[in-house]
Amino acid sequence: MNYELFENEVVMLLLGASVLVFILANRQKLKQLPASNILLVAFYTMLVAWILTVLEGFFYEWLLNFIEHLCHAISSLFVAAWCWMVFGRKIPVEKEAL
Amino acid sequence: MHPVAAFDLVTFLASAVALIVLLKGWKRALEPRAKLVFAGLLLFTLSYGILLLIEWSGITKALDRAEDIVGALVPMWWAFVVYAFLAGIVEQQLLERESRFEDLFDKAPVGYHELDTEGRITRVNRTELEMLGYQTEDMLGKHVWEFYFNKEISKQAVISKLAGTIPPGQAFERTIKRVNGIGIPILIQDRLLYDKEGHIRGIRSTIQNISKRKQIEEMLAQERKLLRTLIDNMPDNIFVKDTKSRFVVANFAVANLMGTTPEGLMGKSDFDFYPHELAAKYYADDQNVIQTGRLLFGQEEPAVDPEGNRKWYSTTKVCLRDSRGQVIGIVGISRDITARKIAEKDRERLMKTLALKNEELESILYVTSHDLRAPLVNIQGFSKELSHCCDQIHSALGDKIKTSDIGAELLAVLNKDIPEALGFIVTSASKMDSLLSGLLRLSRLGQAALNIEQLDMNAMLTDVTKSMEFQAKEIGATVNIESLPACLGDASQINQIFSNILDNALKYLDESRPGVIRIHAKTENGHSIYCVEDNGTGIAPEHQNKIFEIFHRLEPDRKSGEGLGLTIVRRIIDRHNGKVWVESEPGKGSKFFVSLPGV
Repeated sequence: MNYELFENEVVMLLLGASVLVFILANRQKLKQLPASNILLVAFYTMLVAWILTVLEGFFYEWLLNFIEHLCHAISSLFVAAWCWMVFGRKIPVEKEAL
Repeated sequence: MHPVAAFDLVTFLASAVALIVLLKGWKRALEPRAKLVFAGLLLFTLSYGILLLIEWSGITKALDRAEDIVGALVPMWWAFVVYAFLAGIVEQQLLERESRFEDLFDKAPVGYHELDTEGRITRVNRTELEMLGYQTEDMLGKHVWEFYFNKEISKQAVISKLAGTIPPGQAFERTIKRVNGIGIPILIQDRLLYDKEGHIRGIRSTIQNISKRKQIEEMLAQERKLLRTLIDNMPDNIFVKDTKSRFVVANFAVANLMGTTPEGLMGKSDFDFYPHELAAKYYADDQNVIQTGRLLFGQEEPAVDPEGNRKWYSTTKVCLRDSRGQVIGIVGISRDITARKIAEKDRERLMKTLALKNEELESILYVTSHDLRAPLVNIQGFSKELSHCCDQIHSALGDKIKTSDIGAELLAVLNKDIPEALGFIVTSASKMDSLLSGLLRLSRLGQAALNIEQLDMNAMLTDVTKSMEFQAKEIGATVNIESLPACLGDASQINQIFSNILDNALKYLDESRPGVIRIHAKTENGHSIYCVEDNGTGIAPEHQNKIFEIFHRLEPDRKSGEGLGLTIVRRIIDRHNGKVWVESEPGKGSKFFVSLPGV
């Protein structure tokens, strides 16, 4: 079996994991963001993509790569949805000031 | 197209759409810095998407390195985004807190200002400005005492507090000047401000407008004065005692009775003024009211005035409770009823005397009517004897008398004058006998004991009617009895009442029309009211009040009787605590009403 590990992918994963820790630590505050759940789902999906990027170097390369790009697409769609909810339509007054 | 490239195309397009939406709605939500950072994330995602698309579409391999770099920047930019958002949130929270504090300060329900060590105003809130009508610049930097009416006192107080010689904390009242020069009463509470070294650096004061409270206090004081005036000038004794029966409020009437002043009564009890036995009774009554909470109403009790005169009072005592319902004493009102008590005693004595006199009169009546009958019998007897003697003289003289000179004259005396005189004597004696019998019956009525029982009036009136059936048939009268309620009374005497009334009704029927007598009744206010209604001759209005009087007769020449029937009726009804009256119209008939206690 041919194992292949790319530094840039590992860096991406580590950075993403750090952001995850940061998010989890400030989860309560981030809940104050409008439609925060959608944005966080977008991030978690992206994080899955980064994990899969690293894992595809070890096994199921084609499948994991396929899922990785699918996660990228889903994450982007969630981000677009969040943008629409926050900037594309009127949102509750108490969160508008953020 | 390779499926992975299709996903990358979606990534690219979604990021592009998100970027457009963000730019279009730039003014909405989030603070500008966070939006800029987020726009950066979208740009990187967009770039990453397009680079991946190029890589997987196999257009060129030259951009692979760029794709690696941009790909690594994406998670990093997520970190920036999260940080920027958090910073925005925290900043917003701080702003909100500050705004809330400012709002609280400005819109506090009380006025608020701070003074420096010189007594100058360094801060003032909106409530105080609105209360006094000033602008911020009118107050800031000015000495606080310039706004008070009593400047010197205020200045000394502020300076003393700042010097630490007077401890602040106690609320106090002042009159502060509004912008229009009018003073308003305020309540001030001060707190000293200290710096880090513990030195006084100023005063923080809250002020409250107490104009309304002052108005209410004045009204209350006025009402209290009014109430006190009323209490003091009432002729009745008004007092309030605590739970140990010590006076806490008393009016002049109470004080006068006890030979002191209202102030002299405060804190003292009845034991300080009255004989021990009397005071103990009052104390027991007070404690009974306090412990049971029951009203003591109109209790008649004795008292002694300062001169030692015995008096009587009607006293009412009621529990006094505080706002929580706890008994804190009693309120009492007592009225001097000495005059009434004396009058009652006089009346009682007079009633006894009257009863005795009545008994005496009845006894005289009885004895007189009884004893007068004996000589009357003699008069009647000897009148007959005299008549018999006249007959004997007439027989003895025989025919001789007709031949003598004086015969004709003697014959006239024997045959006419003497029998006529004897006839008058017998008739008068008979009438007197009848009257004496009536009087005797009347006097016996007052002496006979009453046997009160429930009476079946239907049965009784049927019996009474039957006993008069012959008399009624003879004159062609009919008697109708309707359903009658029962009543309480003595059977024989009630029978007597209706016998007399019915007898009168039959006696005074109109000969020109068939007589009809109707007996009916109703129940009203616990009394049974019976009515004997006839279609007789009726009674003229001027006689209606007299028919119950003794020996009063309507047609003495035409109708027999002694004039005692209705007198006896009234006498019996009086003894039964009942009532009798008549309604009559001459030529139409009469209605006799008898009211007796119901069952």
